[in-house]
Amino acid sequence: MAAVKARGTATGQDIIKGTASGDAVEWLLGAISAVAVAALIGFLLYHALASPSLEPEIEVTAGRIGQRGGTYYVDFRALNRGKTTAAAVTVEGTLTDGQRTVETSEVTFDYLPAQSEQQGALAFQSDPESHRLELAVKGYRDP
Amino acid sequence: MPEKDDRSGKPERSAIARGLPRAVGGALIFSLPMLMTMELWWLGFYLDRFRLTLLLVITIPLLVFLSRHSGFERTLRLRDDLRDAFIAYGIGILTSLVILVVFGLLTVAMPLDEIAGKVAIQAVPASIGALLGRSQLGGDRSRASRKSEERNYFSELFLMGVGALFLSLNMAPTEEMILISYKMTEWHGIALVLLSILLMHGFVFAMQFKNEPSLPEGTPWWSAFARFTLTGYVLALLISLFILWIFGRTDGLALAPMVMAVIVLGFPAAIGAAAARLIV
Repeated sequence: MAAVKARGTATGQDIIKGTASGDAVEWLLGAISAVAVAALIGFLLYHALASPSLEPEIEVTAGRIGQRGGTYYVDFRALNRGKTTAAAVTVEGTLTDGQRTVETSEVTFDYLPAQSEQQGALAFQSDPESHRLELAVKGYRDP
Repeated sequence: MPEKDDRSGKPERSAIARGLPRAVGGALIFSLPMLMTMELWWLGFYLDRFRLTLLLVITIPLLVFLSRHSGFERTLRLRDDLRDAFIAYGIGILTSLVILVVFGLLTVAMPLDEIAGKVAIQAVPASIGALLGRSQLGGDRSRASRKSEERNYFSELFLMGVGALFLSLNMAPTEEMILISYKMTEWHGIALVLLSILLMHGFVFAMQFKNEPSLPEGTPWWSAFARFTLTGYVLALLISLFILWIFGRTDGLALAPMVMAVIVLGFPAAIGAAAARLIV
């Protein structure tokens, strides 16, 4: 209440502008912000206390295969289910024909954030549809 | 600089001539860090066009507001603020264009779309600088009292928003920003939130010595803390989130890493927000 009083007497202009409703809006915004900051800290605390798995868990899923300009592209999604971020995630795709490896292709993601997903594509000269296609994570490092 | 006696908003020609070099100076000071950051050159061509357009459109009301509270000259009418805002925008675009060409970053071989994108993204901080340059880089002290007269709570918040936007625009595109958030644990995150709030409140506290109508002496600390510090911090976080989204940094990101990225960018944004009220 002291604040309201001080405001009211500060300048002549404030007496006109600084009505009770104006102050109520200020306090309302302040209260919403306080709740938001508390929720933010609560969220971080919850995640800090409840995250036993500290290793990245990377899963690669192949998607659509398309042909553009004589090159075949295999779209894929890399999902990190772990709770830490992996850097320099290398994904390799291999086309095999029985025992024989026909072609390999790889791509590196700068970052694969925790519990997040990135998309990419691997390029092949041979048609992946007529061979066996395997996608694998070759490695990653800490950011 | 002599004070103009007419308040009609029609400046003398010499006043504009004096203002332009200051505006260009302001544009350079504010945009050089971004002009010399390579992530921003790349953003110019891969940034989502809808998001880039949105950023450019939002800049207009922001400049109009800044013109009202500092800017080229005394303005009483919205029309004058609009004119000043567009002059600043023009100077921002032109300055960015010239510097990018001189740096050899724009060539005739580039598609027009890429050139436009690169200039557009730089024009935002440059135009803010152009507008502030006129009022901050040099005399005209007599206007100081007028500025605080016209300030109220919401213009203070808006000003904080501009400060947050400007500093986060500088930081958000760099890879370091996102890398820092990956290196931090949630405990670091909590510490950064508390540090941001503490520093912001330091600025708010300093503001009480600046004879601010909305923060007269004798305001209890918790009143200023709730009404300015916390609200300002949440505003800084929201603007950080907005900028991260504009730059496509939130795409595919889960909630937890996104919150961490927002907190990291929220740190400079909070400092920018708090400092803007002291400086402008």
